[in-house]
Amino acid sequence: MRLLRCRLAVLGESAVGKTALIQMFKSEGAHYPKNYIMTLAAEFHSKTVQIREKDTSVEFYVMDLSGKGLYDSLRRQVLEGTSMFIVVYDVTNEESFKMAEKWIDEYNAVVSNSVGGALIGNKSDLEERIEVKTQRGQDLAREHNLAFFECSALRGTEVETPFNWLANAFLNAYEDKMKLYASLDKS
Amino acid sequence: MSLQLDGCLTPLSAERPPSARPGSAARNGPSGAPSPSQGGARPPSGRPQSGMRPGSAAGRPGTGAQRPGSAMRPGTNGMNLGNVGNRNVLSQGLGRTATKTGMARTVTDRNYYVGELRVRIGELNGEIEKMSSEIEQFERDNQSAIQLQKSIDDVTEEVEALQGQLKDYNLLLDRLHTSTSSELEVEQLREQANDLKKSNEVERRKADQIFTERNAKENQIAEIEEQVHHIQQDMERQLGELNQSDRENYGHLKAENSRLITDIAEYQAGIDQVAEEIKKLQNELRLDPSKQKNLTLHDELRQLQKQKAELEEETSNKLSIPEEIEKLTHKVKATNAEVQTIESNISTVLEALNKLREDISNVEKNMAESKSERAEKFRDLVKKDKDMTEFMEQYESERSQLMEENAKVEYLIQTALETASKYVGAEHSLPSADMVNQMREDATFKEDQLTSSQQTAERLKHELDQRRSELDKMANLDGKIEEEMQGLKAKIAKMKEELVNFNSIDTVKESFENNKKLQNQEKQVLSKRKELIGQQNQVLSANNDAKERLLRENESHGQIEILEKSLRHYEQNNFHIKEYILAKGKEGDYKTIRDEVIKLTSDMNVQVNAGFSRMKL
Repeated sequence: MRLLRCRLAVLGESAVGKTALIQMFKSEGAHYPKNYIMTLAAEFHSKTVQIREKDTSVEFYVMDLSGKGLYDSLRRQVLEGTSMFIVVYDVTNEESFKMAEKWIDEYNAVVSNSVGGALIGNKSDLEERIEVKTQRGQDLAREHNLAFFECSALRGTEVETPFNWLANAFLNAYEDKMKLYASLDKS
Repeated sequence: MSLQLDGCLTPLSAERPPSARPGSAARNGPSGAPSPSQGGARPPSGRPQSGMRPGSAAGRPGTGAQRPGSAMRPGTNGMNLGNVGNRNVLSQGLGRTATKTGMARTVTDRNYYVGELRVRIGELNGEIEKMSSEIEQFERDNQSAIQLQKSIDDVTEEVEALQGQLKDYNLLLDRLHTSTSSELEVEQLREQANDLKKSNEVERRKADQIFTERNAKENQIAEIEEQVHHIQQDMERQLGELNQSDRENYGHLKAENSRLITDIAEYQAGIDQVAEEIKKLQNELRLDPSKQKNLTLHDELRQLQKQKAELEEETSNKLSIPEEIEKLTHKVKATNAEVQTIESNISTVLEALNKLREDISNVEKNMAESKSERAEKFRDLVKKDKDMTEFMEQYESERSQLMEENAKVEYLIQTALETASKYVGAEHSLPSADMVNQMREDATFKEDQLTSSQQTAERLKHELDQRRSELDKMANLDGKIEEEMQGLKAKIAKMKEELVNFNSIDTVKESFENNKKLQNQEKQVLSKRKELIGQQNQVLSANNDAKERLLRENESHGQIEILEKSLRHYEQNNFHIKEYILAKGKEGDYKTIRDEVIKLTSDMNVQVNAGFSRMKL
């Protein structure tokens, strides 16, 4: 059994449901924060994802970053040292989707050699209020070479899928690197 | 108020001792307050005290003056008259005053009492006379009452009897009036009475007939007795004519006859006794099951012996086959004849039954006409009918039983005939005894051979099954063997590969040793690193603690924390408000309606323009 450790940054506009998503992922759908509580600067969580077929576990150190501009100066320090990232937007909020690209760029500006990332459209349960269509999200993700997911933290649908995908991606990157090192050693 | 009046007007008050009055007269003012014993219920202000009155001077002489004093009372009385109107006049008061005054006057007169006594004595005498006359009358009445009581009893008895009669009559009348069938009942009763009379007449006639018959029989008996007497006389006469020897012979014979009669009586008694004993023993036998069984077995034995004897007789009288056939045909014919006779009997019985039924119907008809006379006949006929019906019911079963028996007998005869004819045919082609014995031996030998061959066949079949199952197993084994072969080949290849290594075991050992050394070195490095990291961790945690402490001590940090809290609170509110606005905005979104309206108006405008252009043209 292998254990890989991965630092993961979760970014996005404020009140798009980053903390709710992380809480649901961490509690495996048991705990959903009913009231909105603004995240101050950043919060730290850890959760292990098992990849059974590869006999590997990936331990995620999740950095829940505040979306407020107040903490722009602090964010940079936190982002440094992360391997992967998630940008979250609210499907009922056009502005949050527009700002998602800004968040991706910001991350890429700080972390140049990231292993990979994902774009998540949250609050898919509010169907009558959807402003950002899935296609647009997919397009944006493709544009930045990211995986795209739509989920609902409230209903707990598709919450674990992005994290599983990231774990697999991280494992693949690790194995590629290991192979590269091995080839380098041989040469 | 009433007490006052009572105290003043009663005669007794006039006879009061004079000392009472002076006492009351001496009283004055408050000291003269009345006590309850002095009729003190009176209020002090009820009327003026007598002592204060002008008429009642203090120097009044004793009793003599009392009367006039009391005579003054009317004055007192008059003083109170003003209050009389307030009283109930009927209950007490003025009327009473008058009588009391009258009484007071008569008491003083002596002659009055004398006169009064005389009047009373006269009244008593009159009363006594009246009572004595009443007593006499009562005694007289009493005497007459006894007589009357007797007559009453007689009359009541008569009345009761008459009432009973009346009740009967009433009941009869009621029945006559209420029941419509009463007349019919009466008629029926009359008919019954007539029937009874007739039957009585018949019975009387029968009795007369019997009586006449009896008389005739008695006459006959008398005649016979007379004839017997004549015969005896003749016999005596003939005996008298006989000689001495014959007479003696007769005497002997007579004596022997009498002896024999007595003997017969004795033997008869003995027979009766024996019969009784037999009966007793039979009863015992009947009660004892083992003896009963024995008896039945004896009976069976007897019957079997009888049958045996019959059979022996039959075997002794062995007939030739054609004779047998003839005999059996005779038997068959006889049974057929029996059957025919039974059938004819049945037909006759049926005819008789029909006839009887007709008779019954006739009798029933006649019965309707005259019930009482033919009731007995009818009963007899009913009984007969019952018997006949029973016979009829049983007839079918009996007939079928007989027919079955007949069929059985016929079948037996037929089979017997068939076997007989077969034997007759086979009689000429029968083998000899030696040949038969040889054939039997051959048959037994062949049977043995057959059984042995059957056994071998079975054994062979079993073996064949075994071989087949083994063959199947072998076929399956091929696949398994192939699999095993492949596995073994792979193992061989692996082992060959390993064998190369095993051949150079020294090199393997060397590489292992090198590897071990490297691992140990790495282990040492890592353990050193671990220690260093631990130290660094301690340093860093100490730094962290110091920084945290500094941070806590920092005022601006505290302020920032407070501000952050308030910010968090505001953001929370802000979020809720935004959510609310969004929800309401969605609810009040008129964009679609606006678009529709614009589209509609534009369409209308287009149509209006088109209309105007057409009008211009």
